[in-house]
Amino acid sequence: MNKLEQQLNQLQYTFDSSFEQIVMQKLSAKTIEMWPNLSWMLTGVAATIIFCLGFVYVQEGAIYLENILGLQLLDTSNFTDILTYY
Amino acid sequence: MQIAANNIDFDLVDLAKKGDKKAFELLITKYKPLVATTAINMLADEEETKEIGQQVFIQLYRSLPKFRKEAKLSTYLTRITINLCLNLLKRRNNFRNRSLELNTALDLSVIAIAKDFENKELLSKAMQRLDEKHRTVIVLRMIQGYDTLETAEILELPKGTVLSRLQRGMQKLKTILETELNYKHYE
Repeated sequence: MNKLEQQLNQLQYTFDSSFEQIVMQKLSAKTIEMWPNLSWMLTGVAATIIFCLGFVYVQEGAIYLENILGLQLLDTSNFTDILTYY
Repeated sequence: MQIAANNIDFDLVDLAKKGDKKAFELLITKYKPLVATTAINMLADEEETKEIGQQVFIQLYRSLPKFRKEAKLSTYLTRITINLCLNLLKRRNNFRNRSLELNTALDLSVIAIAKDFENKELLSKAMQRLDEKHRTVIVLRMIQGYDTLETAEILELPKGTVLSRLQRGMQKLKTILETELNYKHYE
């Protein structure tokens, strides 16, 4: 190895002791930054559910589980027949 | 020895994946000289080096869930560092004409590890006068000590290209030192 190669090999550096803390702080900050997005998403989901319930109420005049699931017109007599048969 | 070092790295990666911040901090402590050396020799700017250094470890943290234990962590980090530096250099319009005041820059928070030697600043200046492709190869081969195959892998280049760039780059570096900087005491 000639002198130039030796000298190139000595161009070594590092960051000071506060570097780790700065990176960890930035990582924490980025995690916190994600929370507003999450709260907006939850608000959106809640608003959608309320809107759907309101729609069902306007359409049906009441909110029952059958209304929500769309089963209010389902004829269950056949099911009873089937159960009797078995 | 190298396998043991890799295993320690992978153990730390596993712990960091599970949310162990101390483990990730240990990885930063271990690899910050590698990242700082690569970035400062590519960029010659302390503030940008710090910024790139932070970005490298943030990127590593984000990619932890999909990090596979196929490559060495050092190789992976060097690749990220080189790519971020090259992207930054592309954004610098006036890069080639910049005035480089390395001594002033390096006094702040990027610290020289090796003992200062005569004309270190001169050598750094000569490095910055090389074009990016030659500088990148010299940084990896001569400063970071990667072998030709590892350098080729990091830069995603054929081995022959790395060898020719190294030879050409070293020749250019000598020419710059001799003709532009009037420095002849490296032989």
